[in-house]
Amino acid sequence: MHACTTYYHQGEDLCEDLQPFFKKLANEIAVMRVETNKVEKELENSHGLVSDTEITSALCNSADKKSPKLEGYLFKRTSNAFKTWNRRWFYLFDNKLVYRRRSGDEHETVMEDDLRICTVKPVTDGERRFCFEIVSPSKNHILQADSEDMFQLWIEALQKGIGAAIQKIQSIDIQKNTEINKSENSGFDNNNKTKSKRAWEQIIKLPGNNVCADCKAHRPQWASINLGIVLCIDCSGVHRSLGVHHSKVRSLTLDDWEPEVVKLMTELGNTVVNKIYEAKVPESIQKASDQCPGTIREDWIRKKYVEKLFVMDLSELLQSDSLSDGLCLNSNKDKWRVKKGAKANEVLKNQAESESDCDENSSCDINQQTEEEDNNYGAEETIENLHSNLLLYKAAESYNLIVMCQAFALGAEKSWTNEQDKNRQPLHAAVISGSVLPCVYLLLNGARLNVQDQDGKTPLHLATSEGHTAQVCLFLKYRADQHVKDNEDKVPLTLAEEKEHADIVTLLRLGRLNEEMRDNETTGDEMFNDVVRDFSRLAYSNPEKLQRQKYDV
Amino acid sequence: MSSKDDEYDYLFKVVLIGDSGVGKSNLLSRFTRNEFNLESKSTIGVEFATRSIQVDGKTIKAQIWDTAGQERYRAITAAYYRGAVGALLVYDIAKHLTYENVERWLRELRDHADQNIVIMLVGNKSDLRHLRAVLTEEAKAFAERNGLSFIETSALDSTNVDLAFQNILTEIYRIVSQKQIRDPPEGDTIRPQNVEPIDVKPTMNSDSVRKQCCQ
Repeated sequence: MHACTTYYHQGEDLCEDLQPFFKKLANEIAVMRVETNKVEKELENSHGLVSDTEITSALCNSADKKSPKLEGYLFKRTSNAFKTWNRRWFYLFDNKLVYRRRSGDEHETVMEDDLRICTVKPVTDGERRFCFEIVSPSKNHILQADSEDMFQLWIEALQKGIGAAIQKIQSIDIQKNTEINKSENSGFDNNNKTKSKRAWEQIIKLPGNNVCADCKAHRPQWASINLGIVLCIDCSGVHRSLGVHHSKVRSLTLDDWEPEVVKLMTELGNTVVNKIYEAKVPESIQKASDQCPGTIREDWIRKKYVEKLFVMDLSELLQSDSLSDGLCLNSNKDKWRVKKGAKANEVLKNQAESESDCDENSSCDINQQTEEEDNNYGAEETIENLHSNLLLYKAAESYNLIVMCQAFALGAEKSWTNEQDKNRQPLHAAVISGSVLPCVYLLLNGARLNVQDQDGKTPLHLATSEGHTAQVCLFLKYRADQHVKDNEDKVPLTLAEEKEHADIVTLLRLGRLNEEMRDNETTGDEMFNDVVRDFSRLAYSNPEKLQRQKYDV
Repeated sequence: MSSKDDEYDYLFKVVLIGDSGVGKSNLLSRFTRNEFNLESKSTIGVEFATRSIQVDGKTIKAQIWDTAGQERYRAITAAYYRGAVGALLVYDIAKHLTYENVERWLRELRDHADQNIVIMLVGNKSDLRHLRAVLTEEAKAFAERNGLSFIETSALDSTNVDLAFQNILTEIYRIVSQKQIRDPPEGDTIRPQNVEPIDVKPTMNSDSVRKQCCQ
């Protein structure tokens, strides 16, 4: 009994001892509560501030009707299977819709590169409020705004942006010209220019590309990608009527441009191509002009590209010096060879580039992927061998686009087989050059992709064993058949694995996976295109990244 | 390709990550082709394989991407994680360093993958009992702390390989199918707007762990 009371007593004492501690604890909790309330309020306030500034910035910008700009947070629904919503800082400028993780973040992702080809519409059936959808030819994006006001603002701004962008292209050429003049005169630097490095702007910048290649009309907005020229809308119509084996017409502004095609366009251009296709125009021929009737235009274009009437033939060429840049004849005139590199355009281009901001480095890098041997010329040939087919072959082999252009103009056969060289075709030769552009040029002009040489090797086999990742990427993009076996019974993938070309292995396997998935799903295709796009971008922006060492895995 | 293989209800991309030599490629070949190669070399580039499994009467096609541990920071990195809904983060139970590096791989996932990606920590080579360097309990505790599923496998003797893939695919399926319930095509839902799905990870976690213990 006594023990019991002592026990309880001790217990009571202990409780009393703890009393102050409990009190302290309660106080602390109370203080903390007050503090959290405060912080919460502050946060609310700052949130209010943020949305206020968002709206005001939006308002003052949309007042500037010419180029609506808007930025702020939106929720973006991811496109993967989860369909989760992420909050991202979006901004709209210069016909583009771009977002970042946070407003200060360096890294930005372009959601839509060109708003002109998009539409915006509200989404009402979704599970969230204030949603709208941006629809472009390739993708749909669903975004959510914070409030009804912001929702309206974004939709309005996007629609205005689309409208303005469409109007803008009408006047862009004049602007461009005046801009160039300005920078020539005063070295005036325009910030906007660095932002807008779109494909067609690079192309239009090339000397001679400010007017139509055929009628000299200003503001050409069309191009023939296999010929490498830009055209006005009227001439583009005539080109289209020639058929795609003569001219593949694209819109500079409305079509999607692959980086390698842009590159090719900037290596050729009106000046270079016209030098060849208008080498000898008789006085009697009426050239097409800006306002000329359709029949004259048609006649002129047909004579120029289909009948190729104004191209100098080979014998004339050999006497004149017009090819001297690319084709070197020995003094005794019975040997000839093709000079490496498509540099004739370089001079012209440099002029253009010093005025503007085109990144010259990247262009040089691809040019010289495998060159720089001591001998800068293709092998010598005797003059009797000089035939347009062989000329094309040699030019492709030594990556000389201008001589290639000349050979095309002379009617060279794209699928001519060189019996002197393992029954290879020009495309094989282009692979050996190590560059992508001669391959693109040939493919655009109808060279066949899956031809085999006497060893049974396709261009894809060759590109693989040479380790030219960018070429492999290109061929896969053009849907090369990677199941063709060479005479040793090997498919390109086997070669790539043997040589341990990691990126090529990846690309080829990805191509196979894509074939497997393509039958029933579109997602496989999309993924394949994504990766291929990654690679082609790399090939054009950081080619060194693709040049890994063999055992660098 | 059989016609059965061509039809599926869901397609999930799952990536294999982890240090070089932990057995990622053998896990893949065991799961997709029931093959194992003791002398396999380091993977060149990225390898792809697919296999379909059944969950709740639905056919789920797993598209599994595998690459050499050293391939990260390469041209392919962004594409590797793009669209992936699951990741098997593999370490070697006989090499403690490969377990220590798990944190680095988690960071890489955070940087490149979707925030909701389902991650399963896989201790491979469980057949090497005598060489064990990472305790099961330790790894399990780590997985729980980080909200990952956990399993130990052996690609060599096939232990738990199918189960690992089965579990992660089921978990992804549960998350994705739940989302689909949220936005039915008919729109005859009575749910209030702005309902976010409840994270089901903990349940699935203990589920997979339990299954593993019962083996």
